[in-house]
Amino acid sequence: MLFVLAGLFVAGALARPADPAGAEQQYRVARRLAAQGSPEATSALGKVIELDPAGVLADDALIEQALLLGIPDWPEELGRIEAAAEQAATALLDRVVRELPQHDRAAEAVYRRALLRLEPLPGHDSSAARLELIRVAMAKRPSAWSERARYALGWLHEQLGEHDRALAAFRRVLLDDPLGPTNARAWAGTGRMLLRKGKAARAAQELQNGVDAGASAGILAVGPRELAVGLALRDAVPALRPQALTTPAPTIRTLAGLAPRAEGGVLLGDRKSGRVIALDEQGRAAGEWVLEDLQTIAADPHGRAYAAAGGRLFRLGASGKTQPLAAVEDYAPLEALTADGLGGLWLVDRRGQRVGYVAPGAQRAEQVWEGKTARLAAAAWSGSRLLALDGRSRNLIALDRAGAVTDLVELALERPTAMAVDPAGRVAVLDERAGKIAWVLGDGSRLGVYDCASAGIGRAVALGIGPDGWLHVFDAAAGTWVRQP
Amino acid sequence: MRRCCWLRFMLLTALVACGLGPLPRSAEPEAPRPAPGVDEESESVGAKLEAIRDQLVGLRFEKALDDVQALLGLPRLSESERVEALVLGSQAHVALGDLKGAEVDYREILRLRPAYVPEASLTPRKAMERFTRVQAELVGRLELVLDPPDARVWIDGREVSVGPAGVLALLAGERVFRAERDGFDPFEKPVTITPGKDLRFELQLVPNARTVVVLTEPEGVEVVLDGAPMGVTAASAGGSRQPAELRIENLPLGEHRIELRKPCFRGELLRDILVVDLLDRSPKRYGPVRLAPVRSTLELRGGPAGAQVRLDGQPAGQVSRDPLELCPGEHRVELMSGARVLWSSREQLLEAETRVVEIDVRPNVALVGASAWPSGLGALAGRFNETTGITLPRGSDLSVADAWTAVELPAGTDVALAVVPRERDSANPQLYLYSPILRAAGRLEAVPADLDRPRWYGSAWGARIADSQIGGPARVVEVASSGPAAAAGLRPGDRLLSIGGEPVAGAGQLRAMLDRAAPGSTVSVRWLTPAGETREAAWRGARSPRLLHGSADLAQAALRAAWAAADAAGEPSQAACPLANLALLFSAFGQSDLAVETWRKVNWGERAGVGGGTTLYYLGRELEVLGREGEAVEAYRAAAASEATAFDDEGPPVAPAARDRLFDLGVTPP
Repeated sequence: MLFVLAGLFVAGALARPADPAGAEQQYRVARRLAAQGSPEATSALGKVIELDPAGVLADDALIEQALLLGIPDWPEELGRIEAAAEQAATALLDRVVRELPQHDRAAEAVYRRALLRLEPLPGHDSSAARLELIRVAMAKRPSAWSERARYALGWLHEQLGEHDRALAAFRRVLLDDPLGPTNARAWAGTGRMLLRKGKAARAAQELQNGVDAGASAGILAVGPRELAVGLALRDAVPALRPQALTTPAPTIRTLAGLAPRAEGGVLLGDRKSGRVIALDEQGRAAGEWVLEDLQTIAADPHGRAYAAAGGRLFRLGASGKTQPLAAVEDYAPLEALTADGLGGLWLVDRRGQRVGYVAPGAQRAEQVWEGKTARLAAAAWSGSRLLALDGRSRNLIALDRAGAVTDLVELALERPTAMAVDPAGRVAVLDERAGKIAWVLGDGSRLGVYDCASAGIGRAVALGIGPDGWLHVFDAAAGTWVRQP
Repeated sequence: MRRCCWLRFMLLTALVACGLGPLPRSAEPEAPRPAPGVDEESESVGAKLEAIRDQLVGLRFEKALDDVQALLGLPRLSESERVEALVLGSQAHVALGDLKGAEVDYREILRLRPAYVPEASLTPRKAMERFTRVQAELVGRLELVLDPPDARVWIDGREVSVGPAGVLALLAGERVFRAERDGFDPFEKPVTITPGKDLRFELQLVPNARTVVVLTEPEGVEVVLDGAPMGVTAASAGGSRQPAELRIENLPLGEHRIELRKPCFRGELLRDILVVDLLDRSPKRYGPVRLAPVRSTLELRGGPAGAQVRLDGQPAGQVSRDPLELCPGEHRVELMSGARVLWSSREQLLEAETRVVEIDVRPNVALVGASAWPSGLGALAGRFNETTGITLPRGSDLSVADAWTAVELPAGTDVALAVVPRERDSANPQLYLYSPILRAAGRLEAVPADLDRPRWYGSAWGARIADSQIGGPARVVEVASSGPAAAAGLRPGDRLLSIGGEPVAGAGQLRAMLDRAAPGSTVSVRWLTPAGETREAAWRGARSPRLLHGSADLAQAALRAAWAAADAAGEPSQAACPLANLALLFSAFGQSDLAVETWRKVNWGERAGVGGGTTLYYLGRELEVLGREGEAVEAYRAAAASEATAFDDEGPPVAPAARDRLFDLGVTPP
C-alpha cells in the first residue's frame, strides 16, 4: 500500500501540471510573432500546447501551427503546398480531431484536414475528404465551417464532373448563408455550373453577383463571366468580337505546348531550349522554368501548370521552381497531357493508343484505356470526362474515369492535332493542316469553324482556351501567340 | 296624613316620568365634558344617577339625598350630570317637604341652566313658588329680534340656541352677546341682564358676501371661480327645460372671474363686481349662459381596413373614410388590431380644425427607465408607438432575456430599450435592448447602422445585367419577355448609361441604384444600343417581395422583427412578406419552433418567383432542425418540384437547394 502511494506521488510529481494562464500568455506572444511573420511563431505555438495540452487554447495553437505551414483556406487554393508541409499540417489537424474533439475549433480542423486530403499529393483521398466535409456540413450544431464544408462539397462535385450536384450545393450555400464568407464563391460556383448547362445569360448574372460579392478575380468569376457575356451577346454586340491580339514570342523555336494562365497570359514550352516561359497579358515575360528534355505542358482548370520532361511529370510552382510528380514511364514521349480539376493528370502515349491516369499524388500512371487501332492525337479534360481525338478515325471520343469510351461525333478534319475545352464545355479542335479550328459541344454537336487564316494565323500548331473563353493559338509560322476572344 | 299621601303620590308620578325618560334637556348647550379618560367614571355617574332615581321611586328619599350629595362631591362631574343630580336632589327635598333645601338646589340649577323650569304640573305649588322667587332673583330674559333670523348666537363665549320665540333666559349681570352668520360681518356687544326683567334686542347683521347662482345651457358645465373649480352645473328641480344651475354660497363681495367650461363647447368667461343689496338678499343669478357647441375633424388616412380606432382609450369604431367628429383639445388616437396598438398619436386639435393624419403602422417600443429616446437614438423618436415611464428593475442583468421578465412591459411591446445610468458617467447611460419577439436581449454597444424601416418589397426589373472587360460595363445580357425591361425597350446587348440621370459605372452599382427605388416605381433609364444609338425610356419595376437575410446584430434584428410584426398585424392581406422575413429572423435566432409556426402562416397566393416553394424550402429547413425529418422531406420534395425563387422574384431558384437537402436526407430528389 505504501509503495502504491509512493508511486502515485512520484508519478504526480513527474507529470507536468497544466498551466492555462501560462498557455494563454504564451498564445498571445505566439500570435504576435505570427502576425510579424516571425519564424519563431511555430515553436511559440508549440509551447502553448506543452503548457496546457488539453486546454482551451490547445486547438487554436495546433490549427495556427498548421496555418503557418501554408494550408489552404478554400478548395481553389489546393495545389500550392508541398508534400512535407502537408504531412506536418495533417498531423497537427489530426491531433485536434482525435484528441480535442470537443474544442471549439474541432470542426475547422476537420474541414481543413479534408482540404489537405484533396491536395494533389501523396495521401490524396477524395472519398475520405468528401466524408469529412459531409460530417462538418451536416453537423448537428452548424458552425461557420458547415457552410464552408458545403461549399467545398460543391467544389468537389464540380471537379468530379457532377455538375447538377455541384449546382445544388452552391445554391444551398447561397440560400442558407446568403451573407456569409462563402457567398461570393457560391455565386461564382452557380454561375460556372449554369455556364456548363448552356445558360449563359443567367450564368453571366450570377457570376456578376459573385464579382460584386467579392469573389476572387480570375477563374472563379471574372473569367467565366467574360465567357458567359460573350456567349450570350457575341452575335448581338460587335464589340464582343474584337480583332485577334497577336504577341511575338521570338524565344520559342520548337513549341512543346501552350497553356493559358489563370491570371491571364500564357505558358509556352520550348522543346529545344527546355524552357517554359510565362507571358503576361501584355506579352511580357512573367516567369521561366527550365526542364531537360521538355516534351509538353498543360494547365488544369484552376490554372495550375504541369510539364512532362525527361520521362517525368512536374508541377510548375513559382517562377523557376518545379516539383517532380510521377514518372511517365513507357508513356513517354507523350502525345498529349491534360489535367483535371483535382490535379489528376491524363497521359496519351506516343502512339496514341494508351491513356494513362496519374491520380493526384500518385507516383505512377495507371492505364485506363487502350485502343490498338486508335491514334489519339489530342486530349482535353472537359470538366467531367476526358475528351480525345482519334486522328485515325477522326472521331471525338469521351473517356470516363473507369475507361469506358463513348464515340461522340466524327469530325471531318484533315489532321487534328490539338484540342481544348472552355469553361462552358465547348470543344475547340485544331486541324493543323486545314488551318481551321472546329467548335463542337461536349456531346459532339457542331457549333462552327474558325478560320485561322482570317485571323492572320499562318500555321497554328497549338491551342488552348483561357478561363475567359479566349482562344490561344501559337502561330509557328510567325512565332507569335495569338489570342482571339 | 292626607297631605303627606298626596305629596308622595305626586312625587311618585314625577319620578316615574323621570325614570321613563332622561331629564329634559336645557335649552342651553351641553357644557364641555370632562377630559377624556374618564369614561368609566362617567358611566358610573350615570349608574349612580339611575340608582338615585330608583331610590326616589322606591320612596327612599333620605338615601337618595345622601347619594346626591355624595355624587356632587365627585370631581370631574360634567355640567349636565351636576344639573341632573341637583334636579334629583331638589325633587328629594320637595318630597321630604324640605323646600329650603329645594330652594338651594334651584339656585344651583339656575346658575348652571338659567332656562331651567321644573315641570309645573308635577311640582307642588309651594315648591313652584319657591322656584319662581329664586328665578326672579337670578334670571333675566333677553328677547332677540335677529336679521337674519338664523344667525348663531354666543353668550359669554358659549353658543346658545335661540328658540323660535327668540327669547333667552340668562343669568343676571353683565353678559357678552355675539352673533355670527356666514356672509355677514360678526357682531359683538356687552349687555346687562336685570333679574326678573325682559330686555328686547333688535340686531341686523351687515352682509359681506352674496350667494350666486350660475345658470347654463347645457348642463354639466364646469364653473371655475377665480381659478378654483367650484363644480358643474346640474339640471334644476324645475325640469329639463330649465337651465342647469350651480349655486355658490356666500361669495365674497368684489370682483370675480367665472369661467365656464365644457368639452366640445366653446368656453365662456364672466367678469363681475359682486355687490350686496341690504334690502334684496336673494342670490345673484348669472345667466343662463348658453355655450355654443364646437367641433374639430380628424381624418385618418392610410390605416389598415378593419382596424379599430380608439379615442382617448375608448373604442370609436373601425377605420373608415368618414372623418371623425371630435371635440377640440388633446386626444390620444390609437389604431388597434385586437389588443395590439398598430399606431398611436397625440393630436392637439384646435376649434373647427380639420386635421388629416397619415396612418403609418409602427412597432411598439417601450422605453424603460427613460422618458425619451437617449441621445444617439434620437432619430428613432416618432418612428414608433412609444411607451415611456416604465420602471427600471434594480440589480438585473438586462443583457439576459430572462431578466426582462421583471420588467412590466405593456402588452404588444415589440422592442424594449432600457436606459441604465452609469455611476460615474451619467451623461452616457448604458443601453440594453430586448426583443420580446425574438426572445433575445443584449447590451447595445453602438447605434445600429441602419435605422430605416425595412422594405419588404422591392422591384423586379426583368433584365440580367453583367459587366464585361471587352464589352464594357452594365451590359444587358438577357431580357425577360413581357417583363419590365422589355416594356421599356431594352434589348440584350444594350449598355446602360444612366439611371435617373446618375451615371452607371457597373452592374453592381446599377443593382444598388435599382434596389434603392421604391417598390414598383419608375426610373428613367438611358442606354446605348449595340448599334451605337443612345436611347432613353421610363423603366417601371414590377413589385417583388424581398427576403432579407442574416442580421445577427441584435439591434438590427430586433428592429426588423418589430417592423415585421407591426406590418403583418397592420395589413393582414399583405402579411406574407413581413411574416416570411420574421420567420427568417426566428431562424437566425435559433427559434425554429416559432419559425415553423410563422412560415405556416405565410400565404403568398398564386405567384411566380417568391412563393409557396420558397416557403416550403425554408419550412423544411426548420422542420429538419427540429428533427421532424418526415415533414421536412415532404416540404423539400414540393420545393424541389417548384420554380420558386429565394431572396426576390429574380433570385436564385430554391429547387436545387431543396434537392441538395434531399440528398443529405438520403432521399432521391424528384
